[in-house]
Amino acid sequence: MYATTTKAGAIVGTTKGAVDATDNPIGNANVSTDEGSDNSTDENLMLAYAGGSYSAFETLYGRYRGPVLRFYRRQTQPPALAEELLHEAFIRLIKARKQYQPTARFRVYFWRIVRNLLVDHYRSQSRTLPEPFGEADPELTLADHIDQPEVHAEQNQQLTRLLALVQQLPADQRDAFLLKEEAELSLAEIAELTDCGTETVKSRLRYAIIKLRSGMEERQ
Amino acid sequence: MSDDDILDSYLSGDSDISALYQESTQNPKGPSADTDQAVLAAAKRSIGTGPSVKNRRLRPSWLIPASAAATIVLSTSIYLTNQPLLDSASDFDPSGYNGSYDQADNSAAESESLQPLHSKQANQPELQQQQRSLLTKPQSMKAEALTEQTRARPEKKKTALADAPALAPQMSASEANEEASSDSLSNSRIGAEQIVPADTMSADPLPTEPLSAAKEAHLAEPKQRAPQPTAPQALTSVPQNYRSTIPHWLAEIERLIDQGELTIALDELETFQREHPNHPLPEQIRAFQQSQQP
Repeated sequence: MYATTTKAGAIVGTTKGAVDATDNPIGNANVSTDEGSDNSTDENLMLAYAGGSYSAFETLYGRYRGPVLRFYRRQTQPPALAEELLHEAFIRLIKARKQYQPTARFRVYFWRIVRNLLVDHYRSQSRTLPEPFGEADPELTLADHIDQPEVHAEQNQQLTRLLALVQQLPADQRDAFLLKEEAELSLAEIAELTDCGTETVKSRLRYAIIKLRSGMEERQ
Repeated sequence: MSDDDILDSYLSGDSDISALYQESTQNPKGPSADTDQAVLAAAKRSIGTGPSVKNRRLRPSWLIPASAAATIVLSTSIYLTNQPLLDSASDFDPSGYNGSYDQADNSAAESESLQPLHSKQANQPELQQQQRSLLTKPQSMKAEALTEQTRARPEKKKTALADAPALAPQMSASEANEEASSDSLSNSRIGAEQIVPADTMSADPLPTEPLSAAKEAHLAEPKQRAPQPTAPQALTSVPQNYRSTIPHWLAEIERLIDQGELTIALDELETFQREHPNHPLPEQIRAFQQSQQP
């Protein structure tokens, strides 16, 4: 087993996207980055924000800023572009607040904005979603991770390897994998976002997992 | 482990790959402070500068529909309230004027206008039919009326009606209306038909209806009735009908001769020759004049 921590173990004690106040890179106490501290659903928060609640947007931003940034970092280079895209994605959300209707999950609604923005970015450059970053430096995407002193060196290496493998995946497989891991979307929701069938998404995920597993085993 | 088992394990959340990837998500490092500030500032501006949902609705959403509905209801009620008046106005028949309109009748007309509208409306269709039939009666009836008016003129009872022979049938009709109905609403009616030329009126295509014997008898004895004062407008307009042009005047004299109204015809002829002494007379009139000379 190349992973030192199981998924269950990783989730226990720390909610995905949760941030310790001391590690808050923003240094802004107004930004609520602990999604567990607010039991309001995303849909209610968005409606509250549309009704004029700034704190509701802060909570939403705290919940989604990490996953969205990682999603962009895994798919774009350089890292500064990921932040630009994140900024633009939330600006689009701000502009669309009056038109938001809670007919679907907010998660799907917002991740559609996020993904469409990425597609628009590459389309504006007459490109499709980036193919594997063969020459990309995975350390850049792991820069945040290697700063943690408590992370074990071996685990750090495995993570670095895994993220490098993720970046080398074909665009469709990487897209499906990241939407599953970062956005926590179901197969049907991924299929809806990517305009393809559920079986196609399953196939892409299957190939992605197989390639990641084989890549990690080769490393060992 | 087959490929499908690997996928099923991954989808069920029991995947070492997924667990390892989630390790990376535990890192709290997110966007830079500048990015956070920019996003949050944009959100704050959207709240602060842009009107909120409550502020955008300065007017209640029901205001416009309610206003429209109130306007419709009000308009409908006004229309229905005034419907009798509108109907009476649209059914206004100027031929009902009997030539007796004067200041003395004003008070009567005003008092009658205070009567219930439905009673007036009930009488209107009958009155209109009678008036139309009287207006389109054969020429003999007109001639009789002309006889009365012409005879009244030499006796210095020259009223406006005497100068308006073509108005005579209308006058008689109105008198008949008075007898036919106690409602004298038509007395106050003054309309355009009163100034219509006699020849035009005689060509009225409206179907004629037989009058009752009493009314015909009444109309056949116009001499016994004193001419009624008429409206000034009708007095000045009617006499110019056939006397305005020589051919019409002569035609009227010939018609009187043909109708056997010899006295009237002779009177008209004398009047004509006074005004047009040098105008040659048609053969028929000339023969008539010679036959009337002693």
